[in-house]
Amino acid sequence: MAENRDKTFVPEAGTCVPWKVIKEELGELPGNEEIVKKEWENLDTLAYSFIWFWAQR
Amino acid sequence: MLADTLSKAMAELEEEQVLEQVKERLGGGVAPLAIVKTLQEGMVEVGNRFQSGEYFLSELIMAGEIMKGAMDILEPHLSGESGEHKGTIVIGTVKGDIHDLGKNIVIMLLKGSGYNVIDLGVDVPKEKFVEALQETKAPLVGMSVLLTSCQEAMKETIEAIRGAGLDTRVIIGGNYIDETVKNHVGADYYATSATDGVKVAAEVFGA
Amino acid sequence: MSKAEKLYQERLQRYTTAMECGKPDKVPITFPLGEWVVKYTDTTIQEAYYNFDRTTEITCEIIRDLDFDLMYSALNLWWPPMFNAIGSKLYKFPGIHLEENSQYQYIEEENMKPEDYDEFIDNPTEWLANKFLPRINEEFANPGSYRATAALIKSVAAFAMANDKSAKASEKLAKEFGVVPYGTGMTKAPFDTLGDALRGMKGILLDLRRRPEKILAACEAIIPHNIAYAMITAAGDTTLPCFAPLHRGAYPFLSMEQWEKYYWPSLKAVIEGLWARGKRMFFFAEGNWTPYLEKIAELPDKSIVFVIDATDAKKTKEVLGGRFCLYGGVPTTLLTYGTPEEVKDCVKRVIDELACDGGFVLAPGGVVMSDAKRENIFAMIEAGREYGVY
Repeated sequence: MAENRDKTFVPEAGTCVPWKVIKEELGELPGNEEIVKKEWENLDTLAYSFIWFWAQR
Repeated sequence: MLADTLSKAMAELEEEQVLEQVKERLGGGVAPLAIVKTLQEGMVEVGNRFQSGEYFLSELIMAGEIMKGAMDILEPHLSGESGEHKGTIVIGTVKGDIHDLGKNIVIMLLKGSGYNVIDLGVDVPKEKFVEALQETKAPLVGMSVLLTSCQEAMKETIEAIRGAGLDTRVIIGGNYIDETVKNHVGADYYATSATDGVKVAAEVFGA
Repeated sequence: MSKAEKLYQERLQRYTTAMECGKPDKVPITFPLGEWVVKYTDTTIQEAYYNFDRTTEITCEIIRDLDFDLMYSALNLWWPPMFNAIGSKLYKFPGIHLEENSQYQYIEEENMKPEDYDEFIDNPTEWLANKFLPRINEEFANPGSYRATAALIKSVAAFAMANDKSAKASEKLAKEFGVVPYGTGMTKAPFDTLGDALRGMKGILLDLRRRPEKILAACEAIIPHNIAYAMITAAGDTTLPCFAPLHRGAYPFLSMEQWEKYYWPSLKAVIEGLWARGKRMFFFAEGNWTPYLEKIAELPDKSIVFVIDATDAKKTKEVLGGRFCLYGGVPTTLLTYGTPEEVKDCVKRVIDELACDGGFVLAPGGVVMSDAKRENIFAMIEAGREYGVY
């Protein structure tokens, strides 16, 4: 799985590591995917706005 | 119209042509100072075009960059030769303010017009202005400020200059400078455009 | 509904009506919050920047008895600890780099080199994270090192804390005083994103001659990010407009041709993209935009709030009036050097000239600096109410 982390992709605007990338690595989730996804995306948005903050300030 | 191809290339901001011609002329034995003078003629035309609205700040900055490139080539050959100039002007960004872009453009145009400019840099304390004026006896001093909150520093600097018994003419410039500010700080002239500095210098030096 | 909540609704309605180019009951008035407030307290600017709670107290104190509609900006636009933790080279702050009663200052550098263009264009977010952040932050200069890791953790935590604290402060102002913020979220013109912190002004102006195609490609790549950044920083709000400080689009940085080719298309795309999501832009046109008014008029009706700083007010009214809400009118230098009487006269003139058929907000046209006088700002607000009833 570690080698997955070196995979390159171009994240869409508003994302750093989009859920679909991580989902591909995780495969099927044993529980409620929506709960995990929602919080993943919240934090991903925070990371995105932090990175861009320095360019947009 | 400029007759010389080098002045023309400078005015047209043809970077490669300018640098090539400077090298050629140097190699051909033309005096470095004569080359500088030719470049300055091009620079004066750049200033004129800015004033007439044909050129904008991007062109002024480009002109400065080309001039810098040309001077890098010329400078090693200039040592020992003392250039003639129209007079000395001291200029700096006042205490508390670190913006230098406007100041640098004005310096470039003044140098281009043949003045000897002493650049004190940014965040300049009033004592340093006074000292430089006493040393150089420059009849004109320029103060740049972007932040309105640093305009008080301009007032204090002008008071210090007057306090030292100097009657140097003072021109102030910056984005939020107007008649009100000029009167408040006690300056003689104010500039809102890059070429205003050259106009005032011409008046002060009668050039 | 409490008195403050009722006021909030009334004021929001006033602003919304003006943004829709309608005629509210009164001309909405903006209170310009800023460092000028601090000198009327026993606090230093340094404390006001660092101590959020104190900042909120100061703010509440000064607005307590004032009747205005909107509040512009913040006293502490940036929370310095976030910058200190990561060793930011972008700003100088009072108390650490400057005297304790100075305002912060921005240091412009060429943080992105000409040779970085291609990598940036291919993957902007990754380039920013990998190349830009280490360059502009001393503690983060060697990602992966102990100090860099610690610095990043701290700075991100500070970022989240500051966002939370400023949201709470704004909530308090709304709940207790009925204050409506002038906007939510921020973004830029793609040319400014590229020209401010990345290439720097000199860099981008030289690029116009040396590598213009790279500017176009980079601006194109920035468009979706500036739309996303606006929506994210506004937390999805579409009631209020999104702040956009516009820099190099002011006259005379660019020639008309340069402006039309390099500045405007990508900015227009951001505005249209936001408008498609129901979000307006607070078009903060610092400086003089008179030559470009006709082009700006091409935007979809009501998609911006146009801020008049040094732009010709009469011409603005002629070209944009009725189709876009106009905002401003009071020169910031007047608030510093004028007298309350002069400010009152100015407000009367501005309202006569600009407010007549609605679609107008009375405010200072630019950023009010720390030297502005309280009595002048109060006079602006009072005169706004006196002359601003439709």
